[in-house]
Amino acid sequence: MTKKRSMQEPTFLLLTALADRPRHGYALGDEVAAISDGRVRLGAGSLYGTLDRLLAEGLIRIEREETVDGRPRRVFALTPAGTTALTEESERMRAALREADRRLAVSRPRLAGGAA
Amino acid sequence: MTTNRPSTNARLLRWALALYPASYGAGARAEIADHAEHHIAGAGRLAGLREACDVAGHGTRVRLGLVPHRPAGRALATAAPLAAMLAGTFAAWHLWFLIQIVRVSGFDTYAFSGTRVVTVTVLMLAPAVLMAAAVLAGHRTAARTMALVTVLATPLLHAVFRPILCDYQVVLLAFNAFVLLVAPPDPISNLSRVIPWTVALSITAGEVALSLAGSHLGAWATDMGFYFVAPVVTGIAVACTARSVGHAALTTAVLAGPPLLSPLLLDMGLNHRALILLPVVLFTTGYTIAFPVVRITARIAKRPDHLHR
Repeated sequence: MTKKRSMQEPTFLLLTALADRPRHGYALGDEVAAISDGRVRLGAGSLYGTLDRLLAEGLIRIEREETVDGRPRRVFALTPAGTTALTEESERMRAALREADRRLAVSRPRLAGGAA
Repeated sequence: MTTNRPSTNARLLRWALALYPASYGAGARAEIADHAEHHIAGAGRLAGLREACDVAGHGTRVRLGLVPHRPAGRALATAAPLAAMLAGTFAAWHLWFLIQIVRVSGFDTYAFSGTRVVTVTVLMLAPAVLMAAAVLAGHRTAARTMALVTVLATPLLHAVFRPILCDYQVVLLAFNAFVLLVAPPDPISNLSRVIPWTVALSITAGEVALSLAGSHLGAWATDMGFYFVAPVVTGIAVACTARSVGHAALTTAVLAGPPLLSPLLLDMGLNHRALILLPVVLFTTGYTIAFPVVRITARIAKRPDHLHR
């Protein structure tokens, strides 16, 4: 019934973590924690659950599978659809931030005047 | 002499990994195992336990096909906050009644065991209320923890102490909490921010209005308010939330699960079965009324996503 919906924060952070270059799952978990300043820490189940969903939705793809120290790793990358979704979400958030800044700029002098 | 016995959390993780179906792929499972083992090794006991539970939850959902990109998982994710609201408002309403009874008549109302019955009833109902509050506040982990407490503690306390709730009311509470517990933790969007608030406030407003009208309309208004108001409001919420009729039907089926499954677990008479089936009819009625209204409103306003912001 709806055309456009806002993203959940973990989804946004995962897509952001993949925006500059492909990464494997473990690096993505670390990157999400770094981007969110340690606020969002995804457990393995939540991380791979979200990656599975993004794969199914075509927002990310498996770029390659490799073995490091005898352990398998899938390297994930953004698809064009994922890049578009991240760009749109980023623009939506930027517009909301601009509006918040504009309103704060209006209210600050008033509050300062009231306090004086 | 040193032993290389794995920690409890490492053993739990091994069991959790066994929950993944073979079709998920050995490579993907090994990757998750590697990731989770690394987390558990560097984490405390509680954080390690949470990690193992996270993997167990994902494994179970993959095995049952309840992942958010599958229709059943998507329906479960849509139904979960609504089910939490149903359980929470139901429990809150009973807590309110209990407080009123105790305030007016004192603890002696429950002559057989006095304060103990009141205390146990409060302990039974409080987790469901807290679960709904956590959903409204957007604290998903807290909400799921409270759902787990509701699923485990409410039937147990009822079985041991037999306080004032009926069997089917306890089963409904536990089942609705279970829906939140098994729902995918990463729904696709933030659509559930406004809808649960609207549902909770509408049910409460309806309950209060029917309760106030009780003196004119008779006791049935107070007793039956929840059973009429809550399903209709929930049906409307499904119409506002679901992306398609098929999605709405699956969501309604999930929400209808608790009232439909209750008679299977309990030895209930035919008249009670009719009462339990009523919410299912009302879910559908609410949906049927709201669906065209939502569609028409969305077209007129040309802002189809205003309900989901």
